[in-house]
Amino acid sequence: MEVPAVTDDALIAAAVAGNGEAFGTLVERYDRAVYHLAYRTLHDVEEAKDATQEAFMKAYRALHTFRPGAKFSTWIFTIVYHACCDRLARRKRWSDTELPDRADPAAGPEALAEASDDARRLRAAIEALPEKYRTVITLFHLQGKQYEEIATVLDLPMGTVKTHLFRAKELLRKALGDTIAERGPQ
Amino acid sequence: MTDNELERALFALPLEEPPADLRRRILGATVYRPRLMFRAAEVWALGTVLAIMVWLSWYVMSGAPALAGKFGFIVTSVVAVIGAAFPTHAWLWLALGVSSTIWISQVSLMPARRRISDN
Repeated sequence: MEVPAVTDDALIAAAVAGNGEAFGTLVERYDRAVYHLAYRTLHDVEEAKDATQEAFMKAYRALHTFRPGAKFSTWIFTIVYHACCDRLARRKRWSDTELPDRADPAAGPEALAEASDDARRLRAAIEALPEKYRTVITLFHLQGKQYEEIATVLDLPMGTVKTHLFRAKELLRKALGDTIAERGPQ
Repeated sequence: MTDNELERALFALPLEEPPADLRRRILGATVYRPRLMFRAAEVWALGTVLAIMVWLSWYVMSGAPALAGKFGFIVTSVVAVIGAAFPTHAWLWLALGVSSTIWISQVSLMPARRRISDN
């Protein structure tokens, strides 16, 4: 695993001291992952962009409150996850038909069958998951097996995170197995 | 598909490609955001003074017409007192003095530059 030349803590300290470039480096390090989480949660490019920008703005304003020793990734993921939850709640308030556990209508079995390679099939299967499982699996993808970090971001007990993860994997395996079965022997 | 295979596939999955303008937007909204010309305390002070002045004007003009009349009376009284302080001929001398000062300030007493043809 590649170790970054300058640690996140050092960059945060420099940014708090007024070094804009240090914050720019943090943005470069995490914007992709943060956008990924926002997009997986919201399923909308524009909203994901707005949520990502909002998260970095909040982080920039509250950088002086960041606890040294904590993980910046967990902090920024928590902020963006809350921003996404607010957007989903707003969506639900304005639209009776839209439910928080919505599945992407484009990612049904047909869409899965059309996916040409394994990565695309896996991506489509993740998108078809209910929102709570999709978020857990996305954070698992981003943070690895750090269950405590995932639990912190989602503000859930560790046991619930593990259960959601188990069910998410089960659903993924089923979806991917179904797709393979639908494709038939090559 | 085993659990290990699924995890390997998950970790090998490339992240969603962010839109090209996202980083520029984030930096524009954070580190490159133009700073305010005033400090927060100054903005609050100016805002408070402005709000008091607006409220006072509204109060004088609409809520207390008698006060508006009083204000007008005070202004005209001050002008009248200043006017009455000097007799008419004093005002005339004052006007003459002011106009003379302006006229003299416009006159140039420097000698005119000689023309070359005069030599």
